[in-house]
Amino acid sequence: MISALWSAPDFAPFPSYLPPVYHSKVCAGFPTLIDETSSDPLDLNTYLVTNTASTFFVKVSGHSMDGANIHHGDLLIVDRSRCAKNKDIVVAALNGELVVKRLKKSKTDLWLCSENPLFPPVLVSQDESLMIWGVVTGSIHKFE
Amino acid sequence: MYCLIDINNFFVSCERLFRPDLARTPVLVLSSNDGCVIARSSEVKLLDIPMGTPFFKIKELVRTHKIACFSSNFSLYADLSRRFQQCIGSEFPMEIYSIDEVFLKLPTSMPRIEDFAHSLRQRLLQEVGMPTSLGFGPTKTLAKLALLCTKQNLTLRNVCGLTCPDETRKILQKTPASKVWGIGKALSSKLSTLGITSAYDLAITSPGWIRHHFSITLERTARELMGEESIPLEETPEPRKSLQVSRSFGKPVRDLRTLHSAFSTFCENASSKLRRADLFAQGCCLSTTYTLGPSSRIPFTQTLKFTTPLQDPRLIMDKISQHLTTLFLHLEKRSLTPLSPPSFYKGSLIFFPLSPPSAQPSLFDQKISVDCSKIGLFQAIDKTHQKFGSQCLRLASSLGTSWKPKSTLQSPGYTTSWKDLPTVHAIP
Repeated sequence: MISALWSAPDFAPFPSYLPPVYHSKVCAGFPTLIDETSSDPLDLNTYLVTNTASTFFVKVSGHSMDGANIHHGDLLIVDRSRCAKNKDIVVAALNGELVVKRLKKSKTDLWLCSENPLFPPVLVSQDESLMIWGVVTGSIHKFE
Repeated sequence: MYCLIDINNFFVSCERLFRPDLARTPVLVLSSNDGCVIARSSEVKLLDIPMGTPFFKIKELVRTHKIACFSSNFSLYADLSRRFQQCIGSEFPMEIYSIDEVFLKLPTSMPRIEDFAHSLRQRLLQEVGMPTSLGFGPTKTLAKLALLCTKQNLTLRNVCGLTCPDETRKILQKTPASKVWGIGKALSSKLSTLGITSAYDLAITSPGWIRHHFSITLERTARELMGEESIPLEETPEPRKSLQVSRSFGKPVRDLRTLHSAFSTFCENASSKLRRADLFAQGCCLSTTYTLGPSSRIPFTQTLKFTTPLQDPRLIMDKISQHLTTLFLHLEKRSLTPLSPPSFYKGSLIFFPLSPPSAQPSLFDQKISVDCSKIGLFQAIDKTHQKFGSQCLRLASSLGTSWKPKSTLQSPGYTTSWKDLPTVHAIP
């Protein structure tokens, strides 16, 4: 095939016996389709975060949520754009402190529950200031 | 219809987001080097502490009123500003006017704009945790004025619209001209000598007369006050014309080595900003203030012109270090006693003009091309910074931190640094 390419055309300004110089190598074998089928590496953000503007990461300190598989030192993914529903795990600002609890709502009362038999649920009374800071949508536990 | 969204006491709101215990406490944020007050919570405003008050003057007030004080934490503020802009969304054309202000252009046909404003405000508060105020009106200037109304009249619940002409006229009559967007002190005092004291006076003045006696900019402002759109929405920001890097030193700098390290750091910061914007500096204005013996502070300024537009921090620092050395040696000679070397208090570099890489070089330049031969090197440096943080790879001349501004009261990088994430308590 190559010899067909360099049979010099009649109008060649140079003597036809000069061999042409190719810069690229000629490869044998089946061509790979990597270029067409390649995609970006998987990004954990797309798996863990739906709303990037309203998602924050926080660190857990303490053991009251062990039963929900949220351990001391874990990283939580908190989405502020979710509305907290009954039984959601939330980060709440309770009396000026950020806490992680399971929210339980009844018709009249609001409870912040731990997931550890040692810690009883906390009834949020009217005069306590409670603000739901965000809804926990995931937790990351790293094995060191 | 234009809508202006502004974050209330932005820096303070950022600090409070991760400190719910400060929700009702007076909070203030200080400028670089903990110099003066640059943001105040409403409680601090009530204590009559004006913007820009030097910190040392209010130490007593801070103690008696238990004011929480913070050094500025700009990486935190920039991250929350980005979230704020992202949360507003791209449904309507948007202009990012400043770190905490965004203009939206809403369709004229849009019904119940007030409801839209309240629900956007609610969403920003919930999703990004930022309390905002919204002003809207038929022009940008009127939207800005409406926003001012929300700050002065708390019964408006942070939303105000100037849509009804009669009501707008009443507001214009009550507003001094100096409060109108784009009218500064000098201009307003000149206007008042001509009998233009209220925003309404300005609005009803003939536009031609204003252009003749003042400028086309003021004419546009006057037209806007009358509800005539004259200042368009700038969706794409204008390219940078200059770039400034400056710091007050944490303590007086008395040796050339440290002075070099400060300016070299300025060059690094400027260069990384230039690379991000794909711009080159054609010159630079170097300034500093110093004292010699018991003298008061003396400013020093020198303008340098680069023969080739520069981006490489090493080449820029090379030019600057020559001038620093000359200045330092000259002052040292004049100081006579070796016991009182010159002391430097702050440094600043302003780069201008800036040009894109395609700009035509001057005819007499030695090198035709800009200094792009090291682009591969800087791509590698930028990638390394992205991965391991900007402190991991530096110019050797930047090493040393004794000049760094004080920021002893800085809050953690809650959203920008893995080791500073906010802690939530899993306790009884």
